[in-house]
Amino acid sequence: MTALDPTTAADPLSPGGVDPVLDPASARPQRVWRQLHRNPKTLVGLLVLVPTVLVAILAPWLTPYPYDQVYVGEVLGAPDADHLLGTDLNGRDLLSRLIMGTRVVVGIPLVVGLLTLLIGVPVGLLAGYLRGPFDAVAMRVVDIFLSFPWLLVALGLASVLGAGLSTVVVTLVVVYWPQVARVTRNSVIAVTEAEYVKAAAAIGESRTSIVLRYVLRNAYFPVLVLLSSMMAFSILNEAGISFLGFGIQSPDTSWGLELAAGSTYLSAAPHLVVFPGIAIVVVVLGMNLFADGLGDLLSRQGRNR
Amino acid sequence: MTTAVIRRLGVGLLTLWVVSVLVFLIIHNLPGDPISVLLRQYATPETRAALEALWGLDKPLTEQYLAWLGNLLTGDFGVSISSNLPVGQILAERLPRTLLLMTGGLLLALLVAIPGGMLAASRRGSAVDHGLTTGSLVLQAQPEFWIGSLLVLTFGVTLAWFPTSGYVDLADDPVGWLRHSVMPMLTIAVVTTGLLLRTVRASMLTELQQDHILLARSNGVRPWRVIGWHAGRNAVAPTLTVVGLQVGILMSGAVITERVFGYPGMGLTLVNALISRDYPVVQSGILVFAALFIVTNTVVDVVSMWLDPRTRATLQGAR
Amino acid sequence: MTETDVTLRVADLRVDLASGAQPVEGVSFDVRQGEMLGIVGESGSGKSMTLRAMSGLLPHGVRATVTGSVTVAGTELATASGRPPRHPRVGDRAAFGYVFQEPLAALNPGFTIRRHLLEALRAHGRLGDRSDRHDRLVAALADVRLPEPERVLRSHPHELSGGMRQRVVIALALIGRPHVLLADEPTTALDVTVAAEVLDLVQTLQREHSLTSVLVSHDLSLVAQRCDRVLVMYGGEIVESGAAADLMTSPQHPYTQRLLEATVDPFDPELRRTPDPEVESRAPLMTAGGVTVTYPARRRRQDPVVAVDGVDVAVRAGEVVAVVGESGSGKSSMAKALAGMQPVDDGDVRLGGRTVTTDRRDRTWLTGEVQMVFQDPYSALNPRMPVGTAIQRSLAIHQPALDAASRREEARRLLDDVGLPRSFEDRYPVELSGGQRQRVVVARALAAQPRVLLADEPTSALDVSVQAQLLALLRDLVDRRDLGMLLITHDFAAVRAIADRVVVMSRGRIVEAAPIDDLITTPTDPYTRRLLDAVPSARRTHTTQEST
Repeated sequence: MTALDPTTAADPLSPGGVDPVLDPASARPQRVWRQLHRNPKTLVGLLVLVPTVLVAILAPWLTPYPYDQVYVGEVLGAPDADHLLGTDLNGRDLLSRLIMGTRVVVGIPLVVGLLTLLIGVPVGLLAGYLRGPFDAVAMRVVDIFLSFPWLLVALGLASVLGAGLSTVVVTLVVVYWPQVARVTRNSVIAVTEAEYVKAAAAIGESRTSIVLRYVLRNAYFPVLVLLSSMMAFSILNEAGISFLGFGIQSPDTSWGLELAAGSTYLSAAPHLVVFPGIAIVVVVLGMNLFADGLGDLLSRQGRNR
Repeated sequence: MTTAVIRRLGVGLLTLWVVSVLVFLIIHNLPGDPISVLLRQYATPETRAALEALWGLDKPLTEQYLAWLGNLLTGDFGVSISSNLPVGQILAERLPRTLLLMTGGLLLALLVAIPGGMLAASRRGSAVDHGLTTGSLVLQAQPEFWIGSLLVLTFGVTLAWFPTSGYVDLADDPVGWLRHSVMPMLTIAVVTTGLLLRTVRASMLTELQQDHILLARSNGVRPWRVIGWHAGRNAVAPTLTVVGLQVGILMSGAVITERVFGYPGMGLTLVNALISRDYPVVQSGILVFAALFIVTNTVVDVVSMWLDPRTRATLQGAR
Repeated sequence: MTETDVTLRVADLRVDLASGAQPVEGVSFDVRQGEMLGIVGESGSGKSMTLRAMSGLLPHGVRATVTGSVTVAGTELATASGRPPRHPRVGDRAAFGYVFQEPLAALNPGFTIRRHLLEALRAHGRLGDRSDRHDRLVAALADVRLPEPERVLRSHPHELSGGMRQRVVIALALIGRPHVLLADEPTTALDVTVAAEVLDLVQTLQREHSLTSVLVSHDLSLVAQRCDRVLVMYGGEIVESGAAADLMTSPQHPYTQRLLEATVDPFDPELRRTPDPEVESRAPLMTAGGVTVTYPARRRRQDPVVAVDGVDVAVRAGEVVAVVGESGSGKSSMAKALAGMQPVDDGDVRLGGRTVTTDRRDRTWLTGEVQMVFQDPYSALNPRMPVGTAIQRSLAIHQPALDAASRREEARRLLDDVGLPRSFEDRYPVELSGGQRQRVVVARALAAQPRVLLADEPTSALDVSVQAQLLALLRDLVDRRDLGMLLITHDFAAVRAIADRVVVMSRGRIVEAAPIDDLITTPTDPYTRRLLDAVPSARRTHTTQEST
């Protein structure tokens, strides 16, 4: 882009052509706050996510009853003053079970996110920066992994590892690391082709210094966007696997598991489906909104480049 | 033909091969040895020896693999442990049902996503745009089994418009088939529409910001024609690629949906087989689904390449 | 002028963006039938926005209110609604035809040229009879002097050259038989010689079709040479208007005066450079001998591409040597070879008794000797590194003896040297203008204490007034620090402003090498002459048109 033409030089959509959040010069608290205001999606997302994380941390102290305590005689009880969300088919308090389930909802995305970053980012970074044969081989491997539909991976792994939490985590890491690797690689390539990386070589910077000081600092954002939407999907994935019976096993709890158990008694006790369902939808939507808000920032940054 | 297409086909074949190896290895990595897993308490030394000889388990692993692959290629998928039917026969009966379900769901989703995405992109930043994009995010947050349950609760239990379970074959009773299939298709469509709509919108926005859109407008081309034809034509290829990748999510969705509705397609069969440890069915089911996905994506990518005249030119030039 | 003469009248045109910015603040002007009006301004002056607003072509997603009146051939186009009219028509003709800056971006990559023409014909209800349709398409292309119209019709945009694409865009604009042709920087993306051809064509068509036209450009010389009357825009307003000749000789407004001062006319005799015999007697610092660079063939059964073919260049301390050429001349490959960023297939580049290689182990030495100034200051600096740190990084590598405090002090001194305030050290590149960023790039280069400065199109991304300042800075640094400088460029104005000697490249070879004065006054090579003829100038001292 040259500066000769005002209609292209200054983006009329973002006054001044400067992005207040991605622009590191203005990463001051009040500017970040203003940016959140202008981007309500991220704000609403945070309003859902922060309480969810808090509930997950404080879960054992928040549950009105022990989550695995059976109340005989209160099987499939409708919501009332004692059990705000009713009881399940074993007579356990649904609210307590959902509160404990928050730990899965928060924990799975965090663990999966961390593991996929640990595998995907180094692979993508090396492929994007070194290019050549390593890139070619790594991306073919990524292509192969990308063509495993996630549920098939789960079913295949369940047949080998059996049902359980480890199946869920391994499945999601297998499914998502190639996406992280590919996005990292593409972002690194885009940054590496920018003139400031060539300029860094021209002032004599070493390769390590170029990667750390110039490439990584400018390439991480798209990975962050992917990561946040990936985390939203992983909540749905866990729920799906647990729904089919290959994920978390009772008496442990997860929202998908509760919904699965409840769906058998749909007409008798609809609350067993409705409450876990709403919980999943709200948290995933919050995560999606957060991810989408980040994505909007990213595309604005792209226009300013 | 061209290097790009050949490379894409090569990757497709390579992926198929890797998947076949992985699926083959499933049976050999089961906890315990396969025969005792498969025969469970019925394992006597005689049946064990007979099976070992039958499956060639006494031979080296590579030889076993090649034999298995050879059988697959000749259409011999083995025999189901629980039903004793040839797996090939089960596939032939169940797979088309799932494919119909997926196709129906995808078509329903595209019916909403394409016009919706185009509308949102052409009215960028308006209330319509915000409504459609936020609506998509809401749809994207819905688990299949939750939507399925809600549909069953509303249209099956409360309104009793559609049957909540059971199945009638398309060939026997098309209307009955449709009545049984509408809710599963809707379920698949609901969870797919969000991402598709946002994809269409994003591709369209990229195109609408190109200078050639201004040129078309400056040449007096009508607005709807600019959006639908000048921009829309170029937005097809990137959208198609995402739709291809969506088939994986669609498949996963179909499996879960069939389970919700007790719909006797390949997905439900696969899940039940896994629960009853019917490994020949599990193996073939996963392999066939994966193969389907890989072939779809390969075709989609080659078509996308063909749609872009810039890559098409290099294709033709290298002939 | 009488009312009937006026084809285009713009009165009090304003554009208010939803963001609150006002890129156009009350612009009024008339264009007479058959006239070519020039609008000149730098980035942000509102010149392009004026054109787009009056023709209803604001980019997709831009929310703006347009007020004022636009009258074409006596008919007022409705702007009262606050929404610019979409493709206004007057009678059975389009009010405007539009020519864009980037012809490749302006053509739909998925359409053939034939499809483009058909779409335009359909839009104007002129698809007509199928039987002679093909002939009319061919005629439309022949009209803009496109050779082989049959082949062009079947082509996609990416298969045509830049000049051909721009001719297609013009042909499309003419299909609506517009009253006014609007051309927005139509030649900025083209090579000098091609640009001259395209502008010649526009002027020819203007006569043949009795068109009225408006030419928007950042280039004062170009507008002055081509147009009858010129408007100068600044900050969304017209600051001066008048006949082109008057504007060039006696500008009234201070901004126009500044702009004119900054505009270097390569043929201005006053720019004569007196050679310094002391410098000329020095031995060369850096010598390229018979440098050849080839790229492997992109497809099988094709020959490898020879980008640079046996080129010799030498530069002494205290002099500026310009390497001039059009795109594809090999000048950029040559620059990379000189900087050790491109392996040389034959010949060598020698510097201080050593041969320049791409070897990683030589980089610290080489980057301490040769530093680069890049074309695009907007991307040459790490957006996440304060500019002070950027300079200090270079110091840390090339002057490792300095401790953190003295590095910081030295970086501040370098900011002084390039004419930037010391307070800029904490700023990030986004907070700086293009010219300021380019000064930081220069300061960072100087931090390595190089002997040779390699500047690859250092001014082409900058506004005219900023260009002049940066060139002056570079020349000053060369003189003060006795640097040797290689200036790689396509721009004769920049060459004239600071170079001592010039090397003209075409298709990988040197076609002429001479001191700058000799080259400007008495070019010997026909290609050099063609190149010089294409440079817009009001004071050309020689003309070779008759001789070629």
